[in-house]
Amino acid sequence: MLSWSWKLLACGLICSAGCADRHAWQADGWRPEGAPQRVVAGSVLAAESLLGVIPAGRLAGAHVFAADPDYSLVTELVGGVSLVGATPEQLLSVDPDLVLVDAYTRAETLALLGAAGVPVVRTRDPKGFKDIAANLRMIARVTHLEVELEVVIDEMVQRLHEVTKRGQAFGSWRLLSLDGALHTYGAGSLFDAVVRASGAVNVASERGVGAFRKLDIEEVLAWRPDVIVLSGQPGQAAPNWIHQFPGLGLLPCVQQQRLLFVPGPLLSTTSHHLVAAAALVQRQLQGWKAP
Amino acid sequence: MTAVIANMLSVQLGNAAVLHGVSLEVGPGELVLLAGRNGAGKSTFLRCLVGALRPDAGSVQLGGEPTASWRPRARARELAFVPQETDVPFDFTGRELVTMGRHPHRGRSEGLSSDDHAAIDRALTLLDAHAFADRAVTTLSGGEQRRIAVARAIATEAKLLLLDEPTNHLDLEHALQLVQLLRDLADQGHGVLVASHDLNLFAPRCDRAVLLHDGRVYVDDAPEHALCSENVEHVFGVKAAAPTEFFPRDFTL
Amino acid sequence: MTRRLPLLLLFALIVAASLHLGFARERPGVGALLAWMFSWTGAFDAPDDADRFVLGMIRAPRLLVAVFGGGALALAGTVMQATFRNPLASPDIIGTAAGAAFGGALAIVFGWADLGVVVTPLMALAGAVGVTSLVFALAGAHGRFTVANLLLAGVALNTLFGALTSFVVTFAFDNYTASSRVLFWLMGGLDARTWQHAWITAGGFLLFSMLVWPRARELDLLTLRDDSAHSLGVDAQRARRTLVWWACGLTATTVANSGGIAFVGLVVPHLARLMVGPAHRVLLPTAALLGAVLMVASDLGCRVAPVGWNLRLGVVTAVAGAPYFLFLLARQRRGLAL
Repeated sequence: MLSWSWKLLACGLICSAGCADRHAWQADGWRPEGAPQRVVAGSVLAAESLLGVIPAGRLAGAHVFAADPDYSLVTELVGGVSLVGATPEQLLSVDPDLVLVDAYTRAETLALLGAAGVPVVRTRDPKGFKDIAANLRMIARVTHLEVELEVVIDEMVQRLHEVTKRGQAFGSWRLLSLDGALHTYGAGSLFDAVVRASGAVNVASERGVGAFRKLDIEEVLAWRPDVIVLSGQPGQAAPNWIHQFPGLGLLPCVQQQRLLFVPGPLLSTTSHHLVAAAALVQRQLQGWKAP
Repeated sequence: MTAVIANMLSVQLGNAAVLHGVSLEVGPGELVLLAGRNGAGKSTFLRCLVGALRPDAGSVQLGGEPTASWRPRARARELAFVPQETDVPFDFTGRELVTMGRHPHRGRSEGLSSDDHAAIDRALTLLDAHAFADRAVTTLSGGEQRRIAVARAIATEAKLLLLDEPTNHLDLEHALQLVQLLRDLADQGHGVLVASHDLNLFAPRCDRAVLLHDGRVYVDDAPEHALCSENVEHVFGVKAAAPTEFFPRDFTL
Repeated sequence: MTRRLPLLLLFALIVAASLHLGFARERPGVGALLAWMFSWTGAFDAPDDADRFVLGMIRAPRLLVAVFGGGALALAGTVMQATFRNPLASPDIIGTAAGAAFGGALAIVFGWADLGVVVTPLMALAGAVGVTSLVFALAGAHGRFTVANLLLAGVALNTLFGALTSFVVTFAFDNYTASSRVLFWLMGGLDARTWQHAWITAGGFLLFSMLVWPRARELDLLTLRDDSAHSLGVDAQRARRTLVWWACGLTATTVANSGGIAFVGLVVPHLARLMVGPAHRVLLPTAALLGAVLMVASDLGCRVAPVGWNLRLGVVTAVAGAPYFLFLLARQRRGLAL
């Protein structure tokens, strides 16, 4: 009985030691004293936000995906920047004084970087264009690039405004995003924000689907979207898997080739480039004239 | 007139030679006792006789033909075997297990003929097993399971019966009943070969006794000669004294 | 009562099948189904094209895969338990399911699955047959094998192909769609089944059950020890090998179309044996019907469960099967027979 309680006490002490004291940079609104000179963009969002804006030489490293055309929109801007993976060893190997990561980076990585004394700032998972702007402002604050990134935000807002205005004159297009396993993006997702900005309707959020969900084939057939949005190159042929789901090939939108392809990295970006997706969607819909 | 004849049987299991040139014949109308120490090769020999084990040398003949050339069902109608282990992992009733003994006689048809029913009932009667025939065998005692297994062999109506330690687990009354049954079957014309440790029960009632020693036939003769003191001492390493007042007794039903 | 049980189960199956066809979150519902069935009398209007399509092209094949797949798995389990003389045997032990999982995973990860509906089932079949052959090859020495060797080879290859499947999945890590498809495949599921899946499953069931059914009595005899079976005229070794292959065929054609389904092959024969006893003449059809009912009911559960759960068929059957084993364990501890 006694030995049991000693074990419990020991466990408690170890656990509390593990819950390290909060670092300064974990406080909201933190701004470093001097402008960081060796910034690592440890996520595609950070890379897309900083590349082209941050002065050369201040960017010590970028996530490997930033140079991967399947994931990144800024592959031409990566240039001579060192590419690192999201592991602590690789991130520390370029001797950073600030690391920017996103919601997908593991807690262990953050803890290890913090223990090494490297400030780590995490962007939030955006649900709409306002969140994207908020992320940009946070990045601006911690890199001392407020002026430059405010310009970027203004451009995004301006473009968004134009797209939205044009979209108000549209007919009501009903869009549904699908992938090879019948996943879709619904209410609260960035795709939803894009669709709304372009002036169309996201069938999934109309039907109460949350941010991301796998659909049943019966649901897709019952909902009968006007357009199916897919990841791919605009103008490409329908993917093979469409014909593997019973009835999908018989939908009017598939028969009429009303398949809207958006390049993968653009469809899934979480940076200000997303507004280009809304513009692309709108252009395509205008090309088809009526739903 | 079917007899089972083993000729110069040799069997090697792994690295050990279990049987060396064993020859033995069992014909109709006789009850033969096969005895020997543990590991002498009795079970192996019986398995060779029934064709479950192929010998490395020598031959086994059934009714003049090599056993291996018989079609399995025809052979099963002539030769029945009760091995030492007869446990069944599923809840068959005793009657269902005895019914399996009619398999060699049943064709594609599913029903049991009147002959089948008669054979099953007769077998259960002879083994005094009617009382527990309709219970699941997993609920029966070791001795009751043994009697069901023997009943199954009898239900095949085979002329030749091979039994490996049939009196294991049986109480005195049922062991005697079984020995008496085998004696009666032999008198009726069956050929019965029994491997057993129960020398006292079988010796007075068998026609021949065969002692296996070190994988060879040591003696094959009438029981009073085969089981004389010298032979018993040589094969079993045990002195056979004259019966005393106390034990062994000669039991009868 | 025992003799009428298969009929009762057949009735239960019809009820379950009707619910499966008619009960759903969206239309068409039970009303449309009934209207269609009785539309020939003129008293009801036939449902419109869209409803007919859903009923006939989406729900019907899914139901058929559930019925024939569940029946096949239960039959396979019954055969395995008899031939291995062990109530805990199941079709998984000789590597069939692991091979099928591996074949299907390969097809999905490397994109061949998109070439046609039958690609994944065929590759899964090839995997199942390949691994089972390997198990036999490893276990057999000069054509005669012991049950122990077969089981050891089965365990070894199950482990190996489980690891290989995981290895294949790591290739798909960055491709979210492929990795989720593989995961759903491994957990089993009947969504988006087409008539091609239904034909393969039904064909496999009919073919192999016709091969197994005449040997019902032989299966009874195989539960005896090999020597006893031999003395009654049954070549236990050869019979075991043949029947295990038929069990493998039943399992492979099902798992190829439904992914990995746990427990049906293990638990259903037990339940059936509890209901009608161990004689295979009655046990085989009872187990097949019971397996079909269970599979249809589980799939119905998957379809009407809250949407966000993403409930998979293999998960439901495992969750339903595990408590049964705890129950068996409790019986064991109280000294009752397994």
